[in-house]
Amino acid sequence: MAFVKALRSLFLGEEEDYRPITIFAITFIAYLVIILIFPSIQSKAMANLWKILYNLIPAFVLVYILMLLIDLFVEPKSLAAKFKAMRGWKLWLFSVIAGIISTGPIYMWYPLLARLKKEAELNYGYIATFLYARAVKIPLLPFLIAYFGWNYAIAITITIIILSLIEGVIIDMLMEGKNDSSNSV
Amino acid sequence: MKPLKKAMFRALRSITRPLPIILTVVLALSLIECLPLKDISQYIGSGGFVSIFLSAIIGAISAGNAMTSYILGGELVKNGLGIGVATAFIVAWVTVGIVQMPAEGTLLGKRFAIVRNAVSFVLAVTTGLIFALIFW
Repeated sequence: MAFVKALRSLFLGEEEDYRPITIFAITFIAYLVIILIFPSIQSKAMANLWKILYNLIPAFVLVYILMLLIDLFVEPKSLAAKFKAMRGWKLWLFSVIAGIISTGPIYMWYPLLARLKKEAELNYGYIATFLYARAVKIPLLPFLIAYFGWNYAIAITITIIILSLIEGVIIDMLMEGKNDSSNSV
Repeated sequence: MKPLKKAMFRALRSITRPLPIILTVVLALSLIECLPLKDISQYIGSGGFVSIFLSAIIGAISAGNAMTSYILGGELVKNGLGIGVATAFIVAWVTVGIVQMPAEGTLLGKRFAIVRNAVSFVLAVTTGLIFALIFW
C-alpha cells in the first residue's frame, strides 16, 4: 500500500494530476498508429526513439544529481536570499554563463528552472536569458567553423549572447505582473 | 523517513513528475526527425524576407541536436541557400521549441512558454535579416 502511495506521489503529485499521463497515452497511441500506417518510417522512427532515449539517460542522471545536491545542500530560503542578493548585471551575467555551460536537452532543465523560479523567486527574464543562452554550443563550434568559417562562428556566438540578454529584458517587460520577484533590475 | 532518503525521493519526484511530458516530446521528436527537411528546404529560396521567415518556421518546428541544424544549414548553404536563410533556420532551431512547448508550458507556465517562443522566433528572423546584410 505504501509502495502504491509512493508511486502515485512520484507520477501524479499531491494534486493527483492525470493530464500529463493522458497526453502521453494519446501521443503514444498516435505514434503507434503513424508507424503502422507509414511502414517506411517505422525503422527510422524506432531508431530515433531509442537514440534519443539512450542520449537522455546521462542527462537524467545529471539532473537527478543536481536536484539531489540542491535538495541536500541548498536551503530554499538561503538560495532565494542569494538570488535576491545578486542584482542587476551580475544576475544577468550569471544567467548567460549558466545557459552556455548547461548541458542536455532543454526540456530536462524545465523542472529545475520551475523549482528555482518558485524557491528563489527568479524572474522570468532570467529564465528566458538562460534558455536562450543555451543556443551557444561551445563543444559544437568546430562544426560551425567548418561549415561557415571563423568570422561567422564568432559573429553568431556573440549575437546569440547579446540576444539572450535582449530576450530576457523583453520577457521581463511582457511578463510584468506575472513575476513575484523583487530582483529585477 | 531520514533526510537523505527524503531528499532522494524529492529529487526522484522532480524527474518522474514531468516524465510523461518528456516522453511525449521524445515520441514527437523521433517522428519529426523522419521528415525530409532537406527536400522541404529546396523550395525555400536563397534570400529575402519571405525565405528567411519560412526557414525560421522550419527551424522552429524542427527539433533535435543543434549539430543537425549546423550540418543541414551548412550543406544547404553549399547548395545555394542564402546565409541569412540558413542563420534564421539555425537560430530558430536552437532557440524556438514548438515541440517542447507543452513541457515548457506545464512546468514554467503557458503564458511564459508562448511569449518566450514568439519573441525567440522574431529574434531568429531579425538575426537572419541582419546576417543576410552583413555576410552578403
